[in-house]
This record gives sequence, C-alpha cells and structure tokens, in this order.
Amino acid sequence: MQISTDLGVWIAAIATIGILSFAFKDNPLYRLVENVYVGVSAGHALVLGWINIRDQGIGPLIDDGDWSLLVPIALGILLYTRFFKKISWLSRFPLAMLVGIGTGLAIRGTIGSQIVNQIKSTILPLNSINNAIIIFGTLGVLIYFFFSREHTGPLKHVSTFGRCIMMVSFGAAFGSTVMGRMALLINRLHFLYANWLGIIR
Amino acid sequence: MRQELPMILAFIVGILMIVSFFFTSETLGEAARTVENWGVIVAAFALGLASINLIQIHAKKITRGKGLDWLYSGALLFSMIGMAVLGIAKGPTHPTYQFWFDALFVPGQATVYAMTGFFIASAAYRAFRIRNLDSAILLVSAAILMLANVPVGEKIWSQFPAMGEWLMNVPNLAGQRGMLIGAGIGGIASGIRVLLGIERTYLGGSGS
Amino acid sequence: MWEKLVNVDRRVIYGVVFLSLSIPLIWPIGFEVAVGPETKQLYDMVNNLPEGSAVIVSMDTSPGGYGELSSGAVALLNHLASRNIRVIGMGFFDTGPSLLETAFGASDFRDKEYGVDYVNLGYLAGGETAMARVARDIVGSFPRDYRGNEVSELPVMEGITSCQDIEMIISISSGTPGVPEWIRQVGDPLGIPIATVIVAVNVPNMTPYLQAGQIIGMIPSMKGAAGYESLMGTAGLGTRGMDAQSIAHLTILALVIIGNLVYLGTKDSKTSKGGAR
Repeated sequence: MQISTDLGVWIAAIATIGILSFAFKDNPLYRLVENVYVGVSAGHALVLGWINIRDQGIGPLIDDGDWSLLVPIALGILLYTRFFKKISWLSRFPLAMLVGIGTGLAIRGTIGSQIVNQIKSTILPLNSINNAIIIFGTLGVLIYFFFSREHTGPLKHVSTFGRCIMMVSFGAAFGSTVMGRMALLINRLHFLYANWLGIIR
Repeated sequence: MRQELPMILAFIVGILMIVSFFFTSETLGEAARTVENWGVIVAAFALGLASINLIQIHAKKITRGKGLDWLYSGALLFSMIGMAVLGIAKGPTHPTYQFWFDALFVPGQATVYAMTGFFIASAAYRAFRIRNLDSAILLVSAAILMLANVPVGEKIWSQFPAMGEWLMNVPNLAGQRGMLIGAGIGGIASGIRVLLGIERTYLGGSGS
Repeated sequence: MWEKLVNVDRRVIYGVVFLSLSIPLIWPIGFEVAVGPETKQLYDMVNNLPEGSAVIVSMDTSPGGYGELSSGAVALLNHLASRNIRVIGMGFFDTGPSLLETAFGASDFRDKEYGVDYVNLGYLAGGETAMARVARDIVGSFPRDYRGNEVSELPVMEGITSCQDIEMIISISSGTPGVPEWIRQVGDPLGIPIATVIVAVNVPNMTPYLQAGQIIGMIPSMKGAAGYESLMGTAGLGTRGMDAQSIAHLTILALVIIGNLVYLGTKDSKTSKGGAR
C-alpha cells in the first residue's frame, strides 16, 4: 500500500481537500474548486442536452425526413427568447408545453399510485395494534391537514394523534439524514485514505 | 393573448396526457406519444439555459469583479466551455472527458454534499433541543433509528434493530402515508389550477 | 462553564466528527453487519430472475448522491453479473450515464461484453415525461447508446422493445425523477416490479410504497450495501464503512445529549440569577 501515482486521483484528492477546507475557513482553493466543478457540471449538461437534441430531433428530422420535429425544435429555440426583453414572452410557449405535459403525467400517475393504491393498502383488518396505528395514524395526519373544519371534540384528539405520528416520521427522517450524511463523509474519507494516500484498503 | 395562448397550449397537452391514459384510442395514444417525444426535445433545449445564465453572470465578474473574482469566474467559464467542446466533439465516453468528469465533477459535488455531515453534527449540538412533547417524540425516534441502523446499536441493546424496524414500518409508515396521500391530493388540485389557468406564475405573471 | 460549552467553536465539533469517522476507517473494529428485510427481499428477487433475462438499471442520481449509493450499486451489479442477467442501463439525471460508466467499471461487468451482456443507453431529458416515453418504447427513445452505437443492432436488446419486456426496474436514486416517478409511469400502470438503491434521506418516504408492494426491494444507503455485500459473501466499502458509521452515530447522539444538558444548564443558571425568560 502506497500513495497513488495516478494524476486523476491526485486532482480528485486536491478537489476533495479544497472543498473540505471550507469547514475550517473560506479560502481561495475552496472557491476555485467550487467554481471549476460548477463549470464542469454546466458543460456536462450542455453536452447531454446536445446529444438529446441530435438523437431525438435533428437526426430523425434529417435522416427520416420527419418534418413534424421542426415544431419541438422551434419551441426549444423559443426558450432562449427569455434573454431578449422584447420577445421574451415567446418563451412562455415551450414552458407552457413542458408544464402541461408534466402536470398531465403527474395527475394521471398520482391518482393511482399515490392515492388509490395507498388508500387500498391502508384498509387493513383491525386485528392488531400495529394495524390500528397505521389506519388511525394515516387518518390522523390527513385530518391534521384538514382545515375546513375547526379541530374540536373527537377531531382534536385524532389530529393530535396525527401530529405525534408525524413527529415520529420527522424523527425517522432526521435519523436517516444523519446516516446518509455520514455515509457521504465516509465515502470521501475512504477515497482520501485508500485511493490517494494508500494507508487503508 | 401573450398569456392566454400559452395557457391554452398547457391545457390541451395536459388534458391529452390525462385522457389518453384513461381511454383506449389509437389516435389519442399516438398524439400523446408525439407530444411526449416533443416534450423530451424541448426539455433538452432547456439544459442550455443555465449555461447562458452562467456566462452572463461570470463574464460580468471577470470584467468588473473584485479581488480574485476574475480567476474564479474565468476558471468556471474555461471548465464549462472546455467540457462542452470536448464532449460534443469526442462524445461523453471519450477517456479524456470521463477523466475530467471523474477527477473534478464527482469529487467536487460529492464533497460539497458530504460537508453537510459536519453541518448536521453542529446543528445536532446547537439546535436539537427537547423543549416540548413534539420535540421529545422527534428526538427519541431519531435516536432509536440512529442506533438501530448501525451494528453498534445491536451491541448496546439487542432490541434496537427490532425497535427501529417497528418505528419505520408502523408509525413512520402511517405518518409518511398520510403526508403522501395529502400531497397527492394537493398536487392534483394545484395541477388542475395550472391546467385551467388559475395558477399561472410559471408564465412569469401573477397568480389568478 | 455552561457559557463556554454554548459557544464552543463549530470547528471543534467538525473535528470530533472527522476523528469519529477516520479512526474506525484506519483501525477497523469489525462489527458484524445485519441484513434488513427489504434488502434480503431484493437479493432473493435477483436470485429468482431467469438467467439471460433483462433488467433496467436507471442511474437517477448526481455525484452528490452517488457517494452514498456507489457501494450498493456495485454490490447489486456484481450480483446481476454473477446471475448472467442482462443490464439495460440508462439515466434521467444528466450525470446518470457517466456515473453508470463508473459503476460498470467498478463492478464485475468490466469483464463482461459491452453490447451483449450490458449496455448504457444514456440520458433522456424531461424527467417524468422521458420515463413515460421509455415505458412505451425503449429503442425509439434511445436510437443510439451512450457510446454512440446503434441500439437496435446490439445483441443485448434482443426481444426488448418496451418496459413490458423487462423483468425488473432498479432505480439508483437520490431525488426527482426517481422511484415515485418510476412507480407512477411504469411500475403501477404496467405491473413491472420496481426496486431501488436509495439515499438514506429518502428511506422513510419509501415505506408506504414498500408496504403497498409498489417497491419489491431496497438497498438503503451504505447500511443496505453492507447487508447486500454480506449476502453476497464479499466485503466492499459498505461493510468497511459500517464501523465508522457506528461510531459517527454514537458521536452525533453524544452531541445531542451534551447539547441538551448545556441547554438545561444555561436555563437553570439563568433561572437562579433571576434572568430566565
């Protein structure tokens, strides 16, 4: 086990240390690495965007003579009118199209996956405490967010139970977040110790 | 007309997506497929928008920035243009392209995300206080889960993994499901508002 | 004393976390790794896939999330390679396909034949819209793969036109589009099993889908990777990272407890001085 002689590993190690150094204090190396990686990221998006336009739009338009593709290509170009004040309103058309498709797809999928199937899976036999918690907990959370009627009487108790159940969920989310963030740090430290310095395997 | 026409477009394509899913019709299906394909192409064009913004901001910083701003912004633009030219000319699987992707982009972003590990530790020390019943429930469930998720938890008390599993699959499930159904209903309601043109902030205007 | 503890420099806390991760990484303790039921479920599902069948591996993450997912992704790819399952790779994050190349290179697929045993179809823009398109037509959605080959001519794509010809979809996921979108556009409407290698932050959100059977298995973060590695009888980064993960969790818990004691201490001292608010 010895220190790496790979140029890529060295650059990656300097980038890693550069970003980590921010924990100590803001410094020029951190800023440089941050800017370079943002630049690489934007460049990468451009490349992938171009490949999609080429393979999905320009390619079939020229090779197969599919002239209907001129419509999305024209709409795509209209997105860039937002940088010219006088004609910036034209960029609303492609945006409206993207929003329309996205909203339509989300609505049709949400009804089945997020509402019907979830309700179906909540209809459990009331033969155990766990099932009761799942049923009344789900109901309690829904009632907690139901603002059309004042939460008094039995409604208040159900919504308070829902609130407690949500607190458990937020606790679970916090616990899981800690696990995730530590895993990310482990990954970077492992890279430094194993791939770069070679002090561990 | 500058607002109404895009709204009508959003309505038509949105309704087409919904109707084509619930009704069997070759014509509707074909129309939906075409529109989806168009959506992919338009979305691909959108990927370049961020780059134009970055060029605008950082070109200004190079000419009018303070201190080392010219260096940072120059490095950003150089790396952006360099990657774009290399990727478009040689393809994203070219060894040189993959080299810079792995050497700069991957460690850069991965470390930025990893840094939040330090910040969450600091927040845990300074802000995670038991002030009332709600925060007590939150803290206890977080603590149980943190111990249940790692091998050392089982060493401390053999029941931690079982407790963690119960917490995740019973009360957390109920909480998440309530929020999922609620968000689903809310999402559909706001989706309908968008399609009907009641909500139009995405067009750059005000609400209804 | 309480004042000192309240105003402790944030860098001291960072240092404590750094040490709690570094020491067990350099001097491992060797804690035994447990396997979660959802991870075992996915392992069994892969074991029951017919040899030569095809699965989609969708890299729906950026490098930020990949740091957490790499060990699970590689363990799963190794399992798929050992079972001779064809892998149809793609991504709905623009960074997905390049990360997929990295994952293939780090797994046993590096010894398999590209285009025959596995393929990286690349990225399709549009998020959920793109997924809906792929559901109906895979080859039409990706006329050329990430390496520039004609997809229709690749042997790995034999008999595959839409997602209905796929045995399972595995989303290596850290955000949107990810698992819920796959469920909405492919899993539920077409009845294709969905599995995921997922970042820890999203694990609690996945439980309703798991219980409803909309997800058939899951590798949650590095902990799930360690479990999968133990099922495979190997020890990758997931297993090696569990010692550090254990100590880090204890450290965070200790910080929470100390933080609360300090809070109580300062509250009491303010009360005794008559300054409580």
